[in-house]
Amino acid sequence: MNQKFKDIFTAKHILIGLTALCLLFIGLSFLYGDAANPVKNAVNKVVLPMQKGINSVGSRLFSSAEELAALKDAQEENAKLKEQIANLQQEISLSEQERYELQTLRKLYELDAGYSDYEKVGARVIGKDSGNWFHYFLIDKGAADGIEVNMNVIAQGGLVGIVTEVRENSAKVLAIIDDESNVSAASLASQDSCMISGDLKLYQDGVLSLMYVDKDAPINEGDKIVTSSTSNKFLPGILIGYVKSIEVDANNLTKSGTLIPVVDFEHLDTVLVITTQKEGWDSWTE
Amino acid sequence: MKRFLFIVAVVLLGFLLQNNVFALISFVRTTPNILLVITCSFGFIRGRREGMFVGLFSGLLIECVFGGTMGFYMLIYVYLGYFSGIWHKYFDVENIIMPSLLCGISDLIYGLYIFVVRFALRNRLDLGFYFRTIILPEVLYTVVIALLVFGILLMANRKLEQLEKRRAAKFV
Repeated sequence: MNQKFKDIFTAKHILIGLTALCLLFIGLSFLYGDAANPVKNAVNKVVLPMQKGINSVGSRLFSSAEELAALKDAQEENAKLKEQIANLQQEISLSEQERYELQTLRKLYELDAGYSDYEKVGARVIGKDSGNWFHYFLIDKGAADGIEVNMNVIAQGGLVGIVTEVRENSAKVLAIIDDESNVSAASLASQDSCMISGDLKLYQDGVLSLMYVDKDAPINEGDKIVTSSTSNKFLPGILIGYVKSIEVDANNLTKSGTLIPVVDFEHLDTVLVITTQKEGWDSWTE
Repeated sequence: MKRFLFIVAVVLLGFLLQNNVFALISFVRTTPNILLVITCSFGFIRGRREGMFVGLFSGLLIECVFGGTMGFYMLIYVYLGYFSGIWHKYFDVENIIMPSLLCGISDLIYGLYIFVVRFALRNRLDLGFYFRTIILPEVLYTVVIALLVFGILLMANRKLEQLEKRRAAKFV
């Protein structure tokens, strides 16, 4: 039986067949994006528990090794941190003053914004994409926990990314540092709009690309950049990072530069998913 | 059947290792491509058919868990399985250096494929940069891991073949 099969179908035939199959899959997933979801869900149900198990073992091993190495730097860091605390305390008193001002102003405008008000769900990062080209990761909360596509993900007080695919018990998050990510943003101080794009090349130095800033916009190095209220998918006012450098472009119309994200993407293990979604274009054009 | 289960187990294990353990201990921010090593190893040891089958399964697993366009990874893994299967008849199975180097070549092809399909098409054309910082470190790391993985798979395969022979003898 097996031998007969081998005589009829040579390896080349199988290769051609499989190529056709793959191309068919690619075509189908472009035409009907979600058609394969039942298959994906079934595979996930098997793989996910294993992924969680190995992840917890792996990170425990890794973190204990890292802890030992970190001990040396700890003392040095301690001194630095003490200095920082002093600075921060000063900042706190300053910001408290500002907050009081803000509260009165908000009451005045009856604005009830700020992302402390958004409802959030905590999730654990259980896997990173395979390979070195992309920055996707998986979290252990999915449709069963109320996660939906396009929900914003934050951690460490800053924007991490956006949910792009949801399964029963897991979801895929596209990090803002990915080469294919674009976020429309604005400077906190002046609300001048700009675009924050991930760039694999720039990220080697730990920065993102900052583009399409108006030439006359008063955005300077060190300014806070937050998500813009004009963004379609991102809720307004989430901190993305600080401007590292900015220069006028060759076209003499716009400025562009680089931005340091607030989130440390190398050591991301828990994130918060904001379950409030922005009412984008789609919701009122339909 | 035993062989089928063996392949499923090996690919699953490789996948989990690659996405959790190796992603954590990534060395100079590089993770080796273990699934590619497994695909190519089966190609070398068992020939084109099995290489393709393992490649198909690896690609399917990546796409099911991480999503995205279905078929994109399957395609390249199937071809790499076939490519390494071609060398099956030329190599002495005791040799582990050459297969490991060929895993490196496969990883190079894989890197170029991703560059063309996902980066060059979006006008990010600096191949020299991507080659230096992403492709080359991954290739080197993959070759080192391949020495280990290929050795282990070679031993496991020998055991499995013995089992299969014994079983065949029993039925005759």
